[in-house]
This record gives sequence, C-alpha cells and structure tokens, in this order.
Amino acid sequence: MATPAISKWSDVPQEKVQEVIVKNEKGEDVKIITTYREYQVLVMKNKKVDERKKWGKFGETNEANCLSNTSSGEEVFLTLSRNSVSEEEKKDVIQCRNCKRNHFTSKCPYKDALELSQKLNKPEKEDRPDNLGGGNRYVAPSQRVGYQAAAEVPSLIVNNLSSNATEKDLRDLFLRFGYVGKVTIPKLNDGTPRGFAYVTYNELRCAEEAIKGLNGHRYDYLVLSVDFAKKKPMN
Amino acid sequence: MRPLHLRLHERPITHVQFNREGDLLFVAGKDKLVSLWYTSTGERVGTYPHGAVVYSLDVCRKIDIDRDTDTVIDSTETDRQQERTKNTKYLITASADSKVKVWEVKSGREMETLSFEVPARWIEFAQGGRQILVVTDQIMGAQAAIHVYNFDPESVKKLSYAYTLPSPNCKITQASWGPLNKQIFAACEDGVVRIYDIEKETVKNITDNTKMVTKIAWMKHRLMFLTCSKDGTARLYDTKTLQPLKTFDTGRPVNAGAISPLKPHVVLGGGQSADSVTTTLVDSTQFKVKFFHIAFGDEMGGLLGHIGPVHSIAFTPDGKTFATGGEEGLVILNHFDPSYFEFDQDLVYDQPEEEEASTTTSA
Repeated sequence: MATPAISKWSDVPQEKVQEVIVKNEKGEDVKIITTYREYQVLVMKNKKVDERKKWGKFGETNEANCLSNTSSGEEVFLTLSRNSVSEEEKKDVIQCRNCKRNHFTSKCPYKDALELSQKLNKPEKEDRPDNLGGGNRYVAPSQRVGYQAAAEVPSLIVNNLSSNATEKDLRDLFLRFGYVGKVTIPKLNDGTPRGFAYVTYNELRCAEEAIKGLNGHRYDYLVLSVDFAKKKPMN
Repeated sequence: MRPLHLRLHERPITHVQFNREGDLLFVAGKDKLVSLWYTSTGERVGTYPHGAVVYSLDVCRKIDIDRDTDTVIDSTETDRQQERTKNTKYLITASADSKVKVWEVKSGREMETLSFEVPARWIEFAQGGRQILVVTDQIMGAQAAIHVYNFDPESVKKLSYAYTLPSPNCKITQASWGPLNKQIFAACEDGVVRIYDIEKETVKNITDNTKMVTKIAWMKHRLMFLTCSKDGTARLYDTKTLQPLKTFDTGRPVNAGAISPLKPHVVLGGGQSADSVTTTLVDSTQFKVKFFHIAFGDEMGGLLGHIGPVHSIAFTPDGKTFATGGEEGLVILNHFDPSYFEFDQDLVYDQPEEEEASTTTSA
C-alpha cells in the first residue's frame, strides 16, 4: 500500500512497537522488534459495482468455465504521436533494396560495388557452423545461435500460504495490481496444498507493484512472502 | 499494454456496450447469443440465449424518478433511491427474427418479448430510460421505420407503443436520441443523416457523406456527434447548428467510431467488408483501430489485433478502457497504460504570438 499524502506533521500517526521473542536455528532466544505506523487510507468505491461483483453465474456460464474464453493477447504498443505517417504512405515511397535510398533497385549507383562484395562474401557463407541449423543434424530451436527466447511473463511465488486459500481468493487478492493470468496452487498427492502458490501477471510493472504491496501482507493467520519465481534451470 | 481477448462468439460481433459505471461489458453477436463480462478481469458472468442473430442491444442506465420523492435523507434512503433508479437492471435486444426482448441483467431471465413483421436493426434507450426506439429493416415489402415505445419498469407489461416516425424510404442502419430526447438522429443507407425533431415534427438532412452511414457516435455530453461512413470518412458535427467541424479520412470503410470521454481523441475502426475482399487488395493493417486528434484531425496512432473488419467500438464512461468487436468474433478489451494518459498532457494549445504581444505591451 502506498503511504497516503499527509500535509501536516501532526497528522503523522504515532509509531507503534511490537516485540516478539522467537527461537532461532541454534535454539537461542531472539527478540524481533518491529516498528510501524498505522495509516488510514480512504478508498472510493461504488457500492453498486461491488454488489455486482458478487453476482452468480447464469446461462451456460458457471464458475468452472467463466474464464475459459478469456485470454491475454500479445502485447501491443499504442504509440501516439502528432503528425504520424500511416503505413500506406510509407509503402508508396520508392526504396532501393540494396542501399535503402530513394530510387529503384535496378538504377542503384552502388550496384557494381555491391555485386563485387556479394561475390567475395559467398564462399564464406557455405561453410556455416553446424549449430545454425544448416547441417544434417537437427538442432532444437532453443539451441541455435541467435535464438531469442519469447518475452516471458513475470511470475511470482507466494510462500507461507495458508492451506485454506483457494485459487479465487488469491485471484481477488492479486487483482488490484493488474490482470492476473494464471494462479497455480501445487498440491500433494492427497490433495492438501503444499503451502505456496504461483501467480502470473502480464506485465512486469504489475508484478513489481504486487511484490511491494503484498510481501509481508497478513493473510488468514500467516504472513505472506511474495517474490519473483525462480526460473527452472534448463537441462 | 496487453489487451484481453474474449473468444466466446464464433460469428461476427454486432455490438459491444458498457453499462453506466463501466464495470460490465455486453456483447451481441450473430451467433444468437448475448454475453456479459466483467470489464476488469474479462471473466464471463453469463449469456442470454436469444435464439436469433442479435443486431443490437442497450442496457438500462438510469430511470428518472419523480421529482417529489427525490429528497435524500440518509444512507438507507440513498440505497432505496439507487434501487429505484433501476441502473443496469434491464437489457433490451433487437434481433433478426423480428423480436425485441427485455431481459433482467442479473439473472439472465427473459421478461418480455415484442414481435415485429421485419427484423429489428437497432434499439436504444432514451436518456432517462422512459422510452426506447426500435429501428426495423426495409425488407419483404415493408418500409424501414423508427418505432418509439414507452418503457415502464414498474409494471408487468413494460413496453407500450407510443408512435412511429415517417419512413425515409431507405434502410436505416442506426438511430439515436439527441440531447434531451428532443430529436432522433437516423443514419441511413443512402448516406444521409436524417434528424427528426419530435416536437416540431420536422426533418433536417445532412448530405455530406457519399455512401452508407454506418454509425452515429456521441461526445460525452452530446454537444457534438460523429458520423461514420462506408465512403472512408468520419465527420464531426455540432449538434445544435449541424455544422460540419472536422473530417477524419481513413481511406477504408468506417464501420464504428467512438469519442473518448477523457481525452480529445476519436477512435475509428472498420475495414473492407468480407464480401469484397477478393476484389480489393487487403492486408491486416487495414483492420487497425485508429486514433485521431479531435481538434487537429491528424492520425496519431493505431492498434492492430483484429483480422476482420471492426464492427463496434465502445469506451467506458471513465475513458480508461475501450472494447472493440470484429467480424471474426473476437472482442478485444484494452485497458490503457499510464503512458496514454500522460500523452499530450504538457501540450500548450495557446498561440505563442499572443504571449509575445502581451510582453511588449507591458514593457
């Protein structure tokens, strides 16, 4: 939660101190002192909108399939600019394929020089390395030279999670920082949760805000720890 | 930004619309279905099984209540008041099987059905929600017409016939209520926008467009309106004087448009219709949703995503989200990035010469 803007110094709430004595790994008593301030944050909410969020599903829709048709699309960039040129106009402009200047390719003045350089370059091209994918041996796309991994979606790990927490609870909790793509609660064979969860956001910005806002958040009777999930090492 | 794709409908989307608070999105499609979604998450709430191609829908915004009971005393009174305004309580749909239906939004229950002789093309609540207009098609020997019905939320039979406007003798694609419900604006297939004055019973024509007018989109307070046309242009008019203010040229049929309630932006969507694809050169960039500046009229940017013509565009009333529905049945829900709201924030619209002049006079 962001600290609310307080104009007067007298409005700053008193510091509170909490002392907890716990045993550390070596069996020694350790005192943990936490100092904190309690702020009241006023959030404007529409009562009607909140009520509508509790509506039951109807028609062919139920709790299981209500998200099955929703997916997050590829990232698009709306770059607004004054006097932008549309693509069609760009296409009309004549451009040389060789030197990218404003004339036809056949009339390029650098044509001769280019052909010469292509001839020189040709033999080099033939003995390309194996891992370019040109050899007989199959090389997986991820192993090839110049491979760029697809943009990854930021994924968070939520540790110290109560066993009562359901997927929907977590969705509601994480929703205020942005659109939540996937929530996974790993379970043991007998169906009991393993005490952590993965939450996927679409945008890094949302994930960072969620870490800021929910790391140390008290949920049920436990204190959540939220961090970026570590990527599984590739073999 | 990363848009949300809603892929429930398998046939073209005809209409997308938000409710008054912008938390619910209604989608009508040609696959005989109307669906309801939460705007923030893209979660589906339910579907209304209409049973025929749904051309248009509208959701009840707020119904005027009598002035003498309008005194607000305490919070329980406000709750009661809110309940009585019937905001987002009823949904009306118009369909190709010549029916108009009234639904309860919350439960998906069908409340009333009204039958016509020809398909109903467009339906819209008047401001204040006391009346609705229904546009019927020019087909099977019938004349296209705009019918007005009274809407009474309290009674069991909600719709009662009020009057019918004279037919323009050509197909009407959309009709919309003007400011204070004093006029009805009708977009016609012959490229004319006809403005019916209900009190004086007169008709005015706007004949600037050369081809079919597909949509009329309003500015927030209905001070100006935008006409989208198949001739590739969208035109902005002053509602009071009906003077043309601006022309936005896209070079492709414009099927839908919207004016942002927050920023001075006009959003236009369209593209070559599916039946003329084989005769024209088409690539996917022409299905781009384009952003124009409302005052300067220049193109500022666009969003790709649709692979078919865009049929409907809607903004939430707060201007922070917009939805587009296309021929391929895809609905794209865009929540704007913070950078969108910062753009043009520091732009100075005043003339720099004036400032110079004032400094010289003071010196």
